[in-house]
Amino acid sequence: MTEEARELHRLLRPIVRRLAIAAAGRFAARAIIAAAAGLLVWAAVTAVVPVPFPLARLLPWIAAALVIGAVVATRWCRPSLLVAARVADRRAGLADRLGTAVDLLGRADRPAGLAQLQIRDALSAATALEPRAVAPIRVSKDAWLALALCLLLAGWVRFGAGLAVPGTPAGRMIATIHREGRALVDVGRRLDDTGRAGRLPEALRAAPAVQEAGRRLEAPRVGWDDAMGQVRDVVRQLQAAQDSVRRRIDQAMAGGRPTRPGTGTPDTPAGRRADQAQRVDAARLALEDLAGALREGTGTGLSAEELARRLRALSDSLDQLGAPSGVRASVDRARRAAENGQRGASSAALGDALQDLQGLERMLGDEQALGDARRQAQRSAERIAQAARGGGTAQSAQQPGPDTPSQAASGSNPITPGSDDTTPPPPGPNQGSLAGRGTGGNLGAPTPRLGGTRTQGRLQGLPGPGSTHVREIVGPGRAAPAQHPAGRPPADVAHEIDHALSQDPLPPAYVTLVRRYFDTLGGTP
Amino acid sequence: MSNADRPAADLAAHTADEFRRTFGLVRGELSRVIVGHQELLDLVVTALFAGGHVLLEGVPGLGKTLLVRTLAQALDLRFARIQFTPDLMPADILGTNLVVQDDAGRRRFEFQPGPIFGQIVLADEINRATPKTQSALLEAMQEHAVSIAGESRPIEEPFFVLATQNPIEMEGTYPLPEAQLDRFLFKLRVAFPALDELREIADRTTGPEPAAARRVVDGATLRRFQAFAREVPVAAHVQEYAARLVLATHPEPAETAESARRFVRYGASPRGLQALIRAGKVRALAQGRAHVATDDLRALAVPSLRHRILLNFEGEAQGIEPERVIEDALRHTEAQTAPAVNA
Repeated sequence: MTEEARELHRLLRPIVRRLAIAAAGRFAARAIIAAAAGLLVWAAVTAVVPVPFPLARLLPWIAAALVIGAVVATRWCRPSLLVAARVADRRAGLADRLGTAVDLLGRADRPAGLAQLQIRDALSAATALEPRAVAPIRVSKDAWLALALCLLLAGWVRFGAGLAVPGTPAGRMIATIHREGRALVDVGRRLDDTGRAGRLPEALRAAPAVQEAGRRLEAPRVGWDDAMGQVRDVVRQLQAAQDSVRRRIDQAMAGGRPTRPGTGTPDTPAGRRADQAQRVDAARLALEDLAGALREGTGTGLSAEELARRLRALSDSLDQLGAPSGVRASVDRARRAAENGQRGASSAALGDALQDLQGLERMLGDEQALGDARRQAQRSAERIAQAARGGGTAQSAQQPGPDTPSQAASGSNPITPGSDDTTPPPPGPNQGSLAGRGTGGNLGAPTPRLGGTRTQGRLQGLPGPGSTHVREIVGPGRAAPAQHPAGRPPADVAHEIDHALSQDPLPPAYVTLVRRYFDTLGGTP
Repeated sequence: MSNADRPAADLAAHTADEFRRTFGLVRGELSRVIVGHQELLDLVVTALFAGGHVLLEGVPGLGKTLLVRTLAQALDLRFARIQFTPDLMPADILGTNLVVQDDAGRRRFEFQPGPIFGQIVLADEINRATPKTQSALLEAMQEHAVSIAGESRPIEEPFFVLATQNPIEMEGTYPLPEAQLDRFLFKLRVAFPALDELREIADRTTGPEPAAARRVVDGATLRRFQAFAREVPVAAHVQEYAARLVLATHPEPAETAESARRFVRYGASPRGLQALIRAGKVRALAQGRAHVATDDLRALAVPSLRHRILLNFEGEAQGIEPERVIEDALRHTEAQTAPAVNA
């Protein structure tokens, strides 16, 4: 590179840099305009169509893309020396001096004569050039437009988020969210009631969060993704509480003997939980029975041998039931105390065992209440998601919320409390309690009717004390032709009618009447 | 700039100064005689230094012939005038072989050169001659030589043809063929003088001693300057501008100017591009620059290209002037060649 070329490069470099910065600024402004316009359109669409608008999640990505884009744009927008020279020529009115000089210096052959004169002329012109004047960096119209769009977007987030046009899918989705919000408030309230009634600590602790989430869903403007996030948070909290309780139950039952095979209980978490509940319930009943007997024995003079015998039987029974080891240890302690004639100690040990079992029962109740609430919150999430997808929105909009847990029909395999959603329901008629997983549009085969017998009960009324006055009013008839010409019914219809008449327990007089009617139409069916 | 290069640059600077001074002198001598028409005078002198011929168009009495005569006075060159008439024959222009008898009584053919062998040739009212006679100028204008009886006879340099013509709408005129038009560097329109100019004309021409031009440059100097002007560098982007401008006068290219697409049958020829660049170099030097700028091309586009654009029927019917096509082409080219920074 010649000395002149180096000098010209040095003089033009600030202009190149400023032009690149200005171009990158324009690029960034346009990118922001595009992004903000896209987000605004997206936001506007959410008022009509139930699509999520995760602005908070998108913003970091958009910002990162803009930063990377700006860096790339600064490199990409960097003009060549010739372009910068030509821009400077135009803006400073240099009549292509700099552009020609750059071109001449870039040629393979060494410039001579007039070319040298031209380069000298260009260098003196470039020296007098003020880069700030030639390549000013100012806020472009695009930048103002980008700012305006960003403010508009912020305004939408502040004042317009969650708005939905009534009657549109988005409006229906908002209605669904509000309804599920009410349902969640109810779920929370029931959880609270259950917790208070059964002294269930985890249920009491979780109930306010559920109610609060429900209230948030009832807010006038709530977005789909926000609603889904709220409900999922509730589901997560309930799940965490339920898992915690479950772990404690498992710890307590760890020493218990598992139920012997062949009892019909499914080897599933739900089945095991039902088995635990049964065991605890049976153990508690047995304990209460013996504690009652002990109290009666204390009062009526129950002998120590008898007491020890019954405690041994209870211990064996608890062993067979697979009751928790702590309970069995307390019962053993009570038996040994009874054998030693220490009735007081025996009674205290039995009290300990009973207390342990009651605590365990509370934990089981806690887990069941949390599980019920979680399932209902999950159903709410599914309904909101379904409404967002637009599938069955109209139908779901008219369905009531899950105010009550689904009722299982009576059968030989009832739904066990605490059953997990991942567990398929046990087989049996009318036992389905979970949403189907099928994707087909057709309904399945009708559920077979239960084989029960129908009994008709009627209340016989008594005649009143007063007189009855019956008055018959006969209006004047008018002869008119039939609206439809009479004709013989088709053979298959006639056959069906005949069959129906022979099957149903109709009074013979009615049968005759119907037959006569069809006869008048044109023949005996 | 290295010291070794400095003398060459200084010499070029000196010659460029001399060029500009001489250009100004010739221009000044013309102004002493010709009233007004400043741009016209600039362009005539530009064509002279570029070594191109000029076609002057205007109604009679506007000083076209006076302009050429004054130019011939300002230059120390041989002047010839051809008055074109309908019965003028090519031989009247080029010359002919005559049978001459020497003192010994022997007869031989001797070439009698015609007025075309002058250095400044005024082809007055060129469109009054038939196309055949007009075409006699073709070779002389392009090759600076004349072929007669199989022998090529060079014309002494510098050779400068200034033709005048009346507007073709006037009776008794023959439009110049396209090939002939293409030989002219510029086609200049001589406008009617304004009121002040008319008064000035009256002052200068009706007094006791009409103004006359002095000789300020000789043929050798003019030839040197013509050669020097050819050395003026042209940047690639300026050349591209000129080429795009010429292309924009054509109807065929996909990215041509709209008016060219609608109204032009044939656009400017490559000679138009050459004319633009050659004249641009002279204009640059005259303005104290050592390079051609796009401003030069813009200023010279109309006189360089207007006679090279052939309008189609629609253009003729709508009374479209080639100037409008050129203006449109300039705008189009400007948009195409503007330096753009990405984004």
